[in-house]
Amino acid sequence: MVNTYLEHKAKILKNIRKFFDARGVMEVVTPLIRKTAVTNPHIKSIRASFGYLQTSPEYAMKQLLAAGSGCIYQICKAFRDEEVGAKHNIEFTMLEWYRVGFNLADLILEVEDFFIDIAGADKACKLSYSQVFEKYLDFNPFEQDKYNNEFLMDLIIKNNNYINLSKEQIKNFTRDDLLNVLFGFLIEPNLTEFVIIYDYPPTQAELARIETVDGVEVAKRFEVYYKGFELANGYYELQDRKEQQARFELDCKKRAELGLEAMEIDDELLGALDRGLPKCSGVALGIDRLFMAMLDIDSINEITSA
Amino acid sequence: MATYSTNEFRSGLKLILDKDPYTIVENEFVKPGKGQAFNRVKIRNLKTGRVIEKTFKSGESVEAADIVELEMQYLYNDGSVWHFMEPKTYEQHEVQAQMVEDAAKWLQEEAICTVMLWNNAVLTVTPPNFVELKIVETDPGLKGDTSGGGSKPAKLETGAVVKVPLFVQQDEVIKVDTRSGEYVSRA
Repeated sequence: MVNTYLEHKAKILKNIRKFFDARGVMEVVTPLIRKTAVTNPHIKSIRASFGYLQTSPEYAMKQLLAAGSGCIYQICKAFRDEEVGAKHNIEFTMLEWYRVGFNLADLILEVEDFFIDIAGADKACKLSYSQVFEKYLDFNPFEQDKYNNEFLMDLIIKNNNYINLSKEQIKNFTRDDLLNVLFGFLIEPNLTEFVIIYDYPPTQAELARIETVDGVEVAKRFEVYYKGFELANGYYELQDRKEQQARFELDCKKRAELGLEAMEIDDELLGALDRGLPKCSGVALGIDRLFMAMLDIDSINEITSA
Repeated sequence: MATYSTNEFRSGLKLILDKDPYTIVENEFVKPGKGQAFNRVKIRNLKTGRVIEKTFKSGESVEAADIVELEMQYLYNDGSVWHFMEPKTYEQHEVQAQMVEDAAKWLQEEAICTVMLWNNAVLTVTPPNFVELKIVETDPGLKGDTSGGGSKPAKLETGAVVKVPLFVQQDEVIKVDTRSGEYVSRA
């Protein structure tokens, strides 16, 4: 029986490689097993007999960048345990690329070009995190005093005919947990065309640098929504080793508070930052979901099973 | 107390929420902002039949419902208690009349029903999808009489009343779909 998706997927991958070739971005292949897992309390890494399966190629690729690789991209498998659903598979395909000398805005433009070229998309609607909250929920999440956590919880409960979470379930949620609920349940369903959200709250920075924009501290991070899929996550990469280590230590603290297995901090990544990560921006894109969005498929099993 | 974690959620899984047994109808895994993940489920209350939506945090556990579905043969009733038997073990079960209310009008002796047990007590009784029952009372139905919309009411041997075509007569056995309560054909 002929699988009709095989040819489509091959064509898309071919076009992706053409896209990067034309821009002088080099393809790399890095190991899938690392000595340490990620400290992010919301990601569960799969243990191998020695080390862990990667949850993304980020750390390995940053080591290459620090060693002078220049602009690089990779298409590889990543693994996140217990994430199973219509759009989630424990094993999934990631496209990740890094551009030396690009800031966030530069990379956003390139990601937009990527979608126009590969997926036939129209130009993206670009909204900042505060703008998208103002547009759909009428408040600016950066005004923390005015719109404090109580306000966020009330808003969630007020929308409970749709969200269906009890006060009890959210009582220990951090501000970011609450914002994620509001974003995911109330704002995301509106992002059905091609939308790029940028400049996130600094507490949601992950590995992005924090900058001050119009007097407000923001994380230089963006996410791409295309045809209702959350497809990509990008950063203007943090270069400061001390800052990165502090963030990892905070992760570890959070893991302990949640009673999660302790994860060692990745000192190879920190070593790369010591050596010197060039000024660069990088983005991780879900290839399986890209296929799903382009081929109009709503279950990830359908696209990965052959 | 057996529990399920949200990781185990799938359609058909039976759980207890607010002391009632539910079955999962739909299960959606979401992870907004790559932060806390959730399972958004549609669940049906097995006592009331009502479907509600609920969101669980990923990793939360719920109490498992001890639900078993068995085939049982209806034996007889004495008005307040209906008697059923498991055909394989010959074990008998007594069910209060109000639990059999909906199914009662379709049950003939020896009919095989699907019985749902919760903690070993009968929760629901579902009659077979199709039954063949004799019409005990119906008008002759004059040809061309469209005043009833081309059909007429017929009372069946079990007490159920269904709409049948005009050409069907008293004492005939007809096939009925118990799920819709509609006449299917002559038996």
